[in-house]
Amino acid sequence: MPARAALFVLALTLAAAGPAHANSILSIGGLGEPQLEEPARLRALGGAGVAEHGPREISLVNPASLSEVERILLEVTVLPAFRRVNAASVPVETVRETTFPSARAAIALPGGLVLGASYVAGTDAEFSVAREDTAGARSTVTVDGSGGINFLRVSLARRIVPALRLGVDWEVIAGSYRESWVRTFSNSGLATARDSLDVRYPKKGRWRFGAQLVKKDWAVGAAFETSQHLPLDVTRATIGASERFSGGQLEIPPGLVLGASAPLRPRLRAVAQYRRAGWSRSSLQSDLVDFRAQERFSVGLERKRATEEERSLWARLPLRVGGYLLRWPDLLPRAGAQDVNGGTAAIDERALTLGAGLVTKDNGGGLDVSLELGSRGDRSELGVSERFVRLGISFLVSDETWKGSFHK
Amino acid sequence: MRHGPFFAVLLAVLSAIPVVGCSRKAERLVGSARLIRGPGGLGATVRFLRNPDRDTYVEPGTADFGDVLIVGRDTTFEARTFLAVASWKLPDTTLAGFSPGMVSLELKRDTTLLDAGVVSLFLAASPWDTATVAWPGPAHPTLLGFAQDDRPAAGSFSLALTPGSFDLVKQWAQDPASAPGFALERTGDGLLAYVPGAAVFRVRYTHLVSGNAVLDSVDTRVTQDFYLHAPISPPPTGADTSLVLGGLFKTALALHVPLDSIPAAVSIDEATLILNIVGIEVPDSGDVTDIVQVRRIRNVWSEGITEKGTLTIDDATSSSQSLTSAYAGAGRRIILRIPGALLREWAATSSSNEGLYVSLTHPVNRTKKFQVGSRESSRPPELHVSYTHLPPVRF
Repeated sequence: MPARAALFVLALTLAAAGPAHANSILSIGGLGEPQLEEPARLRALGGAGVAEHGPREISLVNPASLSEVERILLEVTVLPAFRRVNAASVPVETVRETTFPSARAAIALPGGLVLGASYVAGTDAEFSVAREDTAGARSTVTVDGSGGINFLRVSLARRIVPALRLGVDWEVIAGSYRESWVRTFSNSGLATARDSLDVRYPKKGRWRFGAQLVKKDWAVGAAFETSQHLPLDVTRATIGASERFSGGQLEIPPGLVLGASAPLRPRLRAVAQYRRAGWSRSSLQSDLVDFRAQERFSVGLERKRATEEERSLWARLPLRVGGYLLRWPDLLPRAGAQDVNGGTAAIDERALTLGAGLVTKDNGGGLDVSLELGSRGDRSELGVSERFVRLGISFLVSDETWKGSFHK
Repeated sequence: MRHGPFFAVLLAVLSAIPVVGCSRKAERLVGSARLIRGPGGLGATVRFLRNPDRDTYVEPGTADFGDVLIVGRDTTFEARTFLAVASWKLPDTTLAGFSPGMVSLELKRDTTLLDAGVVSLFLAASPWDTATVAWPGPAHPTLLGFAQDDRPAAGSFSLALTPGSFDLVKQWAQDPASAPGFALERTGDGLLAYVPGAAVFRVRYTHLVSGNAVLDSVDTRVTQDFYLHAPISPPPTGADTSLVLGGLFKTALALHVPLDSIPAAVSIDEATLILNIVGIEVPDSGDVTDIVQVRRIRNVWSEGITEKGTLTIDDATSSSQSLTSAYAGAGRRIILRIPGALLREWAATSSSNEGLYVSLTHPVNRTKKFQVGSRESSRPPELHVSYTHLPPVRF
């Protein structure tokens, strides 16, 4: 009954709550904020998940990590965050937000196969900004941006031999970029302009191949993802007029992930991962954004939870600590420049990560949390920097967990 | 195996998550210099104004089937009202002791024109076609009666026909063609106004009821009424320095403003027609019911026109605004909003731009007219246009 009451409260809260949005000042240009799709358990390890394996230790980076799933799993991750935006010209601003990096379902099939389906956020272009503009007639421009690149993914994995697991993803590159521009003039004789800007692309698929080698507590993993070309279609519209034209071609580049998990002590292990996506100038011809390779360096330490017999809560609680360095692919115009011809500035993101979790008694489900403390941007180069705190919460349910809580 | 507490904690945490999500309005970033969209900035707003290359004023025609009936004269304006009856009602002449009495025309006063004077009723010599009737209207040689309208207040004005008119009424009832219509005129200078649709011919009579004489009456409703006025004088020349809006002649403006410089893909922020008042009369609180209407002209016209009939005008208004709210006292200007879509169409296809027809309706003060500076004056009409280019691209 407590669970049903809580479920009722959840439903009511979700129904009453307004939409949550990202609001990074760095999502205003380029492709948007790169998202880490991993659940909280792996976020707490700096995002190093390519070598993860186990009945519930699944990673969204490597499809091979699904190969040991024994039942039905459902995993959802939400990410409330708090930012402090430090810009050169205005006082410090604070922003709260909630994003949904991923949701995944997996089911074990006969023949040792595991089938998965997931939603993954690639980039997040949500922002809301109001700015004074004096070009022609004094006005306040309010721009609400939304969208970004998303992926809808189907996965298939299998353990080939005891030490080798293989997996493959086929994912549809979805999403779009939309901006709503509202311009309010100081002169009351001028009517408010309400315009929109849409950038769309056809939904195309691409492949990701993953492999893991597991020997006792040692594991190494790798994944490779293919590229895809997406013709961009731009529509600008206002009341009574619209303009549609080609926006060039966006190349989603090939990517590579390499990583390992190594035991340090009986309950302690270390993980490390290098992830790269080959963004470059040729990925998108634009005067407003240039690109470099996206790179993420992740490391983490995990103290695994003790056995069921251990009565101490502290001992039964898994503890994780990690960190990462993310080099955004977007090279944005430098502060004061009108476009990339005036110079570009890179965005490097660094974070310290912490985490813990609870596991259900059937070992099928659990609740993991992560805390990310980091910063990115550069006031001297970009004119703005951000500090952020993210709370990652992942909810993992298996068929056994479901039955245990609601049907017994 | 039960996990109730686990789920209770879990769901409580999840319930709190949407609450900590951001509120967009409360947390909109301001002053973001990172909103960078190239050398064009965020899309410049362009403003310009155009003056007409053609303008004049026209009268709607000499026949007015509108909301008032006018008789009388005011300098160059002269009007008479015409009435017609489709069928007549007579009292029952077989009643005991029937005796016809006075026949009168009963008119309901319109208080907007209040010059007391003598009003005369004539029998028209011929019928008229409402589609073509024009000043001075059909001849009306036969005087049927007259009376002084003292205009004490709103109410009815009774104009008695000459004694013995009951026989005439009987004749009109038997042969309606013998009374093709009636004309009302006011003698001398001054104007009187009556309410259309309210006039009746009243036949009074007495008859005996239980040996006592009883006064009774029968009304015949006037089924058609309108007034004709003399053509506008002096007529507009097309080169006048002022354009007349409203007044007794109900003149309206015809304006053509060339427009060819609005790009297709812009957001139109302002499309405003400004009329500069150059005369003494300005809109005030007494003009609270006045409505300025703007309609689109569809045909080619020249500045030499004097009548609305030469224009092909849309029935639908492009803009309709209260005169008092449209008037800005500071610059003595009437500011009229024009639909941006109309300008967009004109800019795309200049041949579709034949201009605008600006008229005044529902005036309280029917004699009040507004003089608007023409293109020949130092304060010509202005069409103000502002547009902003569509949002610059993101990539």
